[in-house]
Amino acid sequence: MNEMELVQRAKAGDTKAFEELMKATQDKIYNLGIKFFENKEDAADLLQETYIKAYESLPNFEGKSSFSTWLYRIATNFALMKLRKEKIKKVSIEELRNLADGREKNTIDFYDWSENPYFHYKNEELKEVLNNAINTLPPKYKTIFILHDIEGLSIQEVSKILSLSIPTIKTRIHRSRLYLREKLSEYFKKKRN
Amino acid sequence: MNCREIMKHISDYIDKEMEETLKEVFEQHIRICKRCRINLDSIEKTLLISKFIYKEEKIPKNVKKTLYYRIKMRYKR
Repeated sequence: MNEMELVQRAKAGDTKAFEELMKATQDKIYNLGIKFFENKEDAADLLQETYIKAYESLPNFEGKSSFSTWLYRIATNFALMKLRKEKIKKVSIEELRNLADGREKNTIDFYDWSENPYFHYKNEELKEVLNNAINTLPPKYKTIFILHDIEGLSIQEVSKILSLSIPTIKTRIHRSRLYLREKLSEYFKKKRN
Repeated sequence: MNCREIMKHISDYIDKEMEETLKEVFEQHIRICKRCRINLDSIEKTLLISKFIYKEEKIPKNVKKTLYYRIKMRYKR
């Protein structure tokens, strides 16, 4: 049975069909929570709140997007609310904008780390630097970066999930990437010195 | 296309959201401009590293149990 058939059955009150939908998507939703919050408790909260909300809102689901996209939307809205309460100091939108406009002086000379011995995907320190930088992105940038660049959702899908225009999504992805690259460049520069 | 324009379009290029003619001009510039090549390369490498940060986690059994219990409670309403 495909996703839409299961959705139709679940909407008609077939609880087994809803559980089938849960089974097919729960690992993805839980791991999305891990990426947003980096702790199992908050990921478990996100998982539970997403499915409870989905079950309660199922009669209103019109099938304009896929069930998974709809779930991502519920999960991301929950994550945004929670991330906004985090106490980690975030980079300002102005700084992100200036970086993308090339107004920050450190973007004038790009540091070449193509041959840098510290560049390796197994370098745990490098991953930690990047992870910390992702966590300092403002929530509305962090969620987009995770959905698009980590989860691999298309710009169009992210736009539907967040009800934001495609140009807005593109701008935020671009600014986030430049900021994260700068943070890694700083790390490589320190290592060189 | 100058370096500033390359910077502006670099994410479109990475996301394959660029029109074919613009893409050709972009790639032509990248071939001759070391600075923009470094710019593109370091962003692509940042994205590569980001793919290795998170490990897939299994949902703990007790979390799954609570989830199904809470959902089942709603069936009864």
